[in-house]
Amino acid sequence: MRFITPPRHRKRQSTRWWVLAGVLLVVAVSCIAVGLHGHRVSPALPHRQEHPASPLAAASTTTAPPVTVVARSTPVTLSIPAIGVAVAVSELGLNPDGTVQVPTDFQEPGWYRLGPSPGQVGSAVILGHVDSYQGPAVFFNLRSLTAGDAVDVTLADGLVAHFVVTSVAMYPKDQFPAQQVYGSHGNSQLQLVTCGGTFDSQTGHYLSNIVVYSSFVTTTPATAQAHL
Amino acid sequence: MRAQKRFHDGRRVSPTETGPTPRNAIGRESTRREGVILVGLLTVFSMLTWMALPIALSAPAGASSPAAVDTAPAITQCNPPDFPITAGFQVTCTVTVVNNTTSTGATSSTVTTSACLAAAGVVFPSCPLNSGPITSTTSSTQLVTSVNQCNGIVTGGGSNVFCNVTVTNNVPVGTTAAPVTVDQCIGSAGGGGSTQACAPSGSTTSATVTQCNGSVTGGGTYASETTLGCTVTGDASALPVTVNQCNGTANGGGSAVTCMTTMTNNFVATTTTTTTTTPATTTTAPPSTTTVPSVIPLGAPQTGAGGASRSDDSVWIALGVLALVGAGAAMSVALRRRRVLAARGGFDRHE
Repeated sequence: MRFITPPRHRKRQSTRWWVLAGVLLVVAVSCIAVGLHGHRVSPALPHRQEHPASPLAAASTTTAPPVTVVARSTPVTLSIPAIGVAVAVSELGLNPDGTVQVPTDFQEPGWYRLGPSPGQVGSAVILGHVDSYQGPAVFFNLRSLTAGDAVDVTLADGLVAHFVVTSVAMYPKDQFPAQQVYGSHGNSQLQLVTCGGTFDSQTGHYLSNIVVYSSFVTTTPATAQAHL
Repeated sequence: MRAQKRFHDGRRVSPTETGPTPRNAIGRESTRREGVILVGLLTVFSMLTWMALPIALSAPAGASSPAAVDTAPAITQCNPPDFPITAGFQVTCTVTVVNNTTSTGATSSTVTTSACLAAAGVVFPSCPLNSGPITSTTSSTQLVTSVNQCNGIVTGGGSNVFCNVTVTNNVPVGTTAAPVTVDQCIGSAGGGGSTQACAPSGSTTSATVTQCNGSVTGGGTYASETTLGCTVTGDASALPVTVNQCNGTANGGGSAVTCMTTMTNNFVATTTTTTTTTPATTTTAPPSTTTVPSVIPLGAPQTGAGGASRSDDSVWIALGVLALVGAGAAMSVALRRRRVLAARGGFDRHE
């Protein structure tokens, strides 16, 4: 038995294969782009020196910050407009082994309550997670802050303490400068701390910490805070 | 013959040895016996001295002895042999330490102790077994650096131990405080029916507070109370004070141990005195400009779980590669069909 396939039908079959190839090509490009994007957002400092000798030294070239008269007051919210952060703040203490506690909520940073509150003389410290088990957390974009960015902390007494970023640094965890981060430098500072660098899947931890150093500018009543 | 026997009892004599006369042998044997007795007496005396020395050293520092001031840095009480190691006791001991330092470097301390021993179930402050509670308050120009109490006592079973330590450090503003590390409740309350409530849990080596380790291992409980309850309150200590209590204690069955440590720091604002010629005035510097101390944590914070770094990137890339291979295959089929179509002049014949 013999039958003949019309040329138009045969051409249509060929066209279908071309369409399928095109669709698969688009899908392939999309998938690979998503995958590569995921690698690119690894929380490291993209264009900064990773271990600055002294981030505070850079800040000291500017006018010395004024000595503050802010009374101790618990921080309740943190706002960093440059990276779209406006969140409540919890409180943190120490673990039995003397290490600092970290927030239990990946989207809520915590204030280290055994140091000064934001605006007091000394180094107030707020710690937040860079990511959770599923994806980015509250301080994921902390690394992208630059000198001059604003950091505002609303205190329980109704004041907003305004800070300005002076430097951003990344330190290997075994060289974490605790005294520099938590200790007093004679003025009022706020340090924001999170994890960064390479993630070690063996230990389940990042190998570095990112610290954003900021200096106190002034306080305003909470009602004047527009972006919170 | 008797002498010969004695001689042979005391020495090993070769068959060729002639040896002394029996009379001389008796005299020498007697002398040797006296020497042995003398050495034995000296040994016993040394042992007694050795045993007595630590007992003397471990006398309660906060006791009524006026010499307690000299031993202020280390407070020791409610340990053996002052307290029993046998069964059926109620032990209640407390130590309250107040350490003071000033901006000029002057130091002082006040220690208040209380020790109570009773039969199990006899409630404090009834302490008939030591005619207590024995309390004392002593002051010293030295800072107290350690407290040691309630260790290795009443291990015979059926006992209750309540021991508390409270440390208050009054220090100038700006003093750096160290984290209070904890090592407690390790290897304790492992017996059947035991219950344990310890907070915080910790097993730090050479910790600031070491308590409730290797205790109440005998099992059972008393009147449904918690077999082992130990707490540490206070995150930081501005002065180096270590607490060692309730370790290796009450290990007999049916015992209970409750021990607490509290660390508090008071940061006292520094006052400066300014004197001018006329009139003389005394002013106090505004506290708001003083540095607020910070307890420097140990180590680096762990603020990441890796979700962003180890997202399913590799899966996406694998899918993309698969799709790329599929696209290549589809293109190859499409090209072949087109070639076949062109070669056969638009017709495809099948049989």
